Amino acid sequence: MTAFASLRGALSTREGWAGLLSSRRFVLVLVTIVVGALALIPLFFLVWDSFKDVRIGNIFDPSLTNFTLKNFRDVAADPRAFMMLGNSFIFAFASMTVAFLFGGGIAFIVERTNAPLRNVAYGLMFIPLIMPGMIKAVAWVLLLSPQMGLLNKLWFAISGSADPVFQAYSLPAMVWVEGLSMSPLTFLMLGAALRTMDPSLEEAAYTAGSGRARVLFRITLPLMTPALAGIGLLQFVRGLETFEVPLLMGMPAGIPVFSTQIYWIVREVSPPEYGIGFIYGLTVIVLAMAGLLLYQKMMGRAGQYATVTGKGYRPRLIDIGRWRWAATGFILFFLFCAVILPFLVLLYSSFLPFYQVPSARAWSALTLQNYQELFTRPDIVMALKNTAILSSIVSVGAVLMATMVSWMVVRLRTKASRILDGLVFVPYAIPGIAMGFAFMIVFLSFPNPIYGTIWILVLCYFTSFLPTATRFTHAGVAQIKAELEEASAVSGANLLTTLRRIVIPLMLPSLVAGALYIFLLTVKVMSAAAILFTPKTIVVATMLFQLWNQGSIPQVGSLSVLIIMAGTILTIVSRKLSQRRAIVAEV
Amino acid sequence: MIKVTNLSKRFVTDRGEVKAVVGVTFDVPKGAFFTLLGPSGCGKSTTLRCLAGLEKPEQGEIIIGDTVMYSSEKGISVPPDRRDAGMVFQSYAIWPHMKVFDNVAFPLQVKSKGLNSAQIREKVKKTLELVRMEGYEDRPATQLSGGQQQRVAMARALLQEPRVLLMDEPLSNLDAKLREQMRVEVRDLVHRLGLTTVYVTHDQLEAFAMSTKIAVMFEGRIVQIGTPWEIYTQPANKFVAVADFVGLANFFEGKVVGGVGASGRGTIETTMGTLECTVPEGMSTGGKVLISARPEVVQVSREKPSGGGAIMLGEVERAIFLGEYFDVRIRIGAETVRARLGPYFEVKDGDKLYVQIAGSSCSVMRSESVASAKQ
Ligand SMILES: Nc1ncnc2c1ncn2[C@@H]1O[C@H](COP(=O)(O)OP(=O)(O)OP(=O)(O)O)[C@@H](O)[C@H]1O
Ligand SMILES: [Mg+2]
Repeated sequence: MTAFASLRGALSTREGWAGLLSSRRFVLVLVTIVVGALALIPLFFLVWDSFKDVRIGNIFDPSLTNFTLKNFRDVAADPRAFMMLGNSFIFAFASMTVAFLFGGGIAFIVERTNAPLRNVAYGLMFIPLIMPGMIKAVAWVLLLSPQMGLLNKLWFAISGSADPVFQAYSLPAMVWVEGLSMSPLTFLMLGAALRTMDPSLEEAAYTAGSGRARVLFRITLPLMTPALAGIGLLQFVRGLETFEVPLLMGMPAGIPVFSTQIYWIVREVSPPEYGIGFIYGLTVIVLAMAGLLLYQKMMGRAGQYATVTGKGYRPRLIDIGRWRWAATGFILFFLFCAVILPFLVLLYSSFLPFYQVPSARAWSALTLQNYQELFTRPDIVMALKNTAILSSIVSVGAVLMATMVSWMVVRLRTKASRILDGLVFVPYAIPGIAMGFAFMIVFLSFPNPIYGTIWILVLCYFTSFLPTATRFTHAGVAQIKAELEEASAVSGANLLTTLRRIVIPLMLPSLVAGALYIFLLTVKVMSAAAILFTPKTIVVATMLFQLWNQGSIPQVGSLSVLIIMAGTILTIVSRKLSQRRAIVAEV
Repeated sequence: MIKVTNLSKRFVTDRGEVKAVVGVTFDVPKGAFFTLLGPSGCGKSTTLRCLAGLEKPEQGEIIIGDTVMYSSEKGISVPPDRRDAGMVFQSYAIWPHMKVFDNVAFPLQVKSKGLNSAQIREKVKKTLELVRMEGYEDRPATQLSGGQQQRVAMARALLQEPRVLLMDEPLSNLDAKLREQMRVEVRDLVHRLGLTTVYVTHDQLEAFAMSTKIAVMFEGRIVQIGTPWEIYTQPANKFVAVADFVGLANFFEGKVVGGVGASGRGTIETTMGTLECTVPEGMSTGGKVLISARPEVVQVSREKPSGGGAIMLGEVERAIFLGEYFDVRIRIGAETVRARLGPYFEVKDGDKLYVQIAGSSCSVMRSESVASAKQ
């Protein structure tokens, strides 16, 4: 049962190491150890250190004495703590509500009404997902900031007043941007929930003589309640974890939330208050885990109500008459706010020698210099290079590891593989900022050549995104008939050869789609990098933040445009491949 | 060549435990064509997969050649890639992302046997010729018909020059005509190559036509091993002889009334009269038996025949004309006997006919073995 026993068993055969690698059990144990270590060691350090008096020079205290509740007392005594907690909950809840308004509204229009152009919405709703949170936040500050914000300028011009109507550095503005940002995923999930509902349940009510509104409120909504609650909860958890928008829009106004507070006390305060960081980190992890477990439970309930409808078996569409165009207008308004407006602002600023509001003088000074700088300014070049290295390694590595994990979980179905299935999902519940902090503490605790290099970022992002990668690979493995692999085994191929020659080629479209998705995610997500970066390991997301703080807004613009362009291409390729997956499954 | 001893395998599922294979023991001599025959779910595939190493039994021993491949006692379990067994799957398991050439060459590519690519190419060509698929090397695997896939799967298994060839219902996905043709082709091919084969099927005709030996399985156990002729003419119990499985049979209960001598023949009194038959070993006077007689050995005539054996007068209950013959049910007292009459006999319902069964064409089973097979 143990790794050692299987090691000995495998080595005792004539084939030695080759035999070892072909031993399923050994590979299973090895993969479980790696996944378990990555998922649990950072968590362990967070918990352990919560009960220790950690300070610079004494980061890790392995002794079984010296436990203390000091950190908890510090947090309890800190009035900022409760303010932060309140902010976080309000921010997360309000953002979720905005996301439901947009995402839910559009899902209903697309799935249940006869609004024109609704069928292209699925294609368009992917576009906002390409933009990293940092870029959205930057764009909206440029639009809403009290003095130079373009929307305020517009207001000044229209009304002649000098009082700004919008305040970028405020909770409502944060909620607006984060809500817009969460809407597409909310739309996708609610759309799926609406689609899998058995239309005959509604039809039965119609034939029983119920009117449209009655069916909506008596049948459709009650049936959707578990799914609505589950999706709401998930988005709420995401709102608790999010970092970029609160960083850019909340911090300057003194509106801390969990993520920015951890960042602040770990990276900005000197000396860092690690002790409080541990407690905040643990709290947000516990909240996220509880939320995700509850979410799974609710989606299980939702699943009982759902039936996957067959082809051409669509629920009845509601004729909304004159409101049809208004509904389409609503979708367009969302896309305008979520994509077009922010992109135009960034595009505009990317051609300016220095940032200024539009004017005749500004238009005549347009330049391509900022794009040139992307390839000449040493720090930007380094950030691009680091990002390319980080994202490539993380995406390919996570997908390959996830393939092994999925193969074991889906194929072997032993007790050990069930443990593996559970372990691999642990990082899913750890917010990026807490993950970054935990990795930082782990690698500060003992001498190693990894801290301060790009490799700590690689490890951290790899761990964070492994669960996401398994979503692609679980489905990919399940599509391969077991006999195709067994035929390889009886032909004399060992486990690794079978994975390399049969499993991976057959899964290739899902793997490439998954790798591209994770590549994009690594470029987008800033939180862990913000905690872990050093001048040498700066990546694009942290570079944007640095440029922003330096006031180099035109460079922020050009770098953002580059990221959005690259992201668009990756997303299109990834989606094309995901669609092809179905074809491969059939042969 | 293959020696399986007391093999057992169970599956634990959500709905409980399934005893798929229970204490299976058999021997396959070198060059034999050994068939596992039995109804769906009786554990044939599981037994075969244990031989290939794809399933790990709980108990027993598997020896191939002179290598112990599995032994619960010695704690040995050789993984499938080192068993040197070629296998043809029911679904063929042709890899859809490869051409025919790569599908067939795969075993040589993964086990470097010191062959260069030209030699591999030559071997693949020869093997494809064997299965009459020459020239198909560059065809994508997705563009093959069922029969062609079956041939490619055979070629892949043969190319390894395996010590044993394992086949799990390789013909069951083909249409009836092709199946009949492939039956002969496959048998001749493995015979020519002198391969030791274990074959799985639920089709008794296929088993009879191809095998040198058949093991009949039922609910995880082997109930009889013998040549096709033995299985047909001397079924070990009612299950083996039972209708719809290894052909049709008439059953009568009887009692040994005497004369069990060194010859093994005895006199048995049945509801159909008194018969002289070979009785099972160790059977003595007074023992209860079950007698089976295949429909085709039941003699029927309009006039009372002379001579011995059981002769009874019966009435045709139902005669069905099937072209090659009449399938006739004749009622004799409380019993119904099925017989086959030539197409020119012109029998109709209600006809009175004499039925004669010769003891030498009946097989006799102990009553207790019948009871155990019935559960
Ligand atoms: N992986 C498995 N998990 C659980 N039960 C199994 C598994 N494989 C086989 N069984 C069960 O074991 C029993 C024997 O199955 P097996 O596949 O050996 O039957 P078979 O004789 O090959 O039947 P068929 O002619 O239908 O292929 C069946 O009851 C089957 O349901
Ligand atoms: Mg089977």
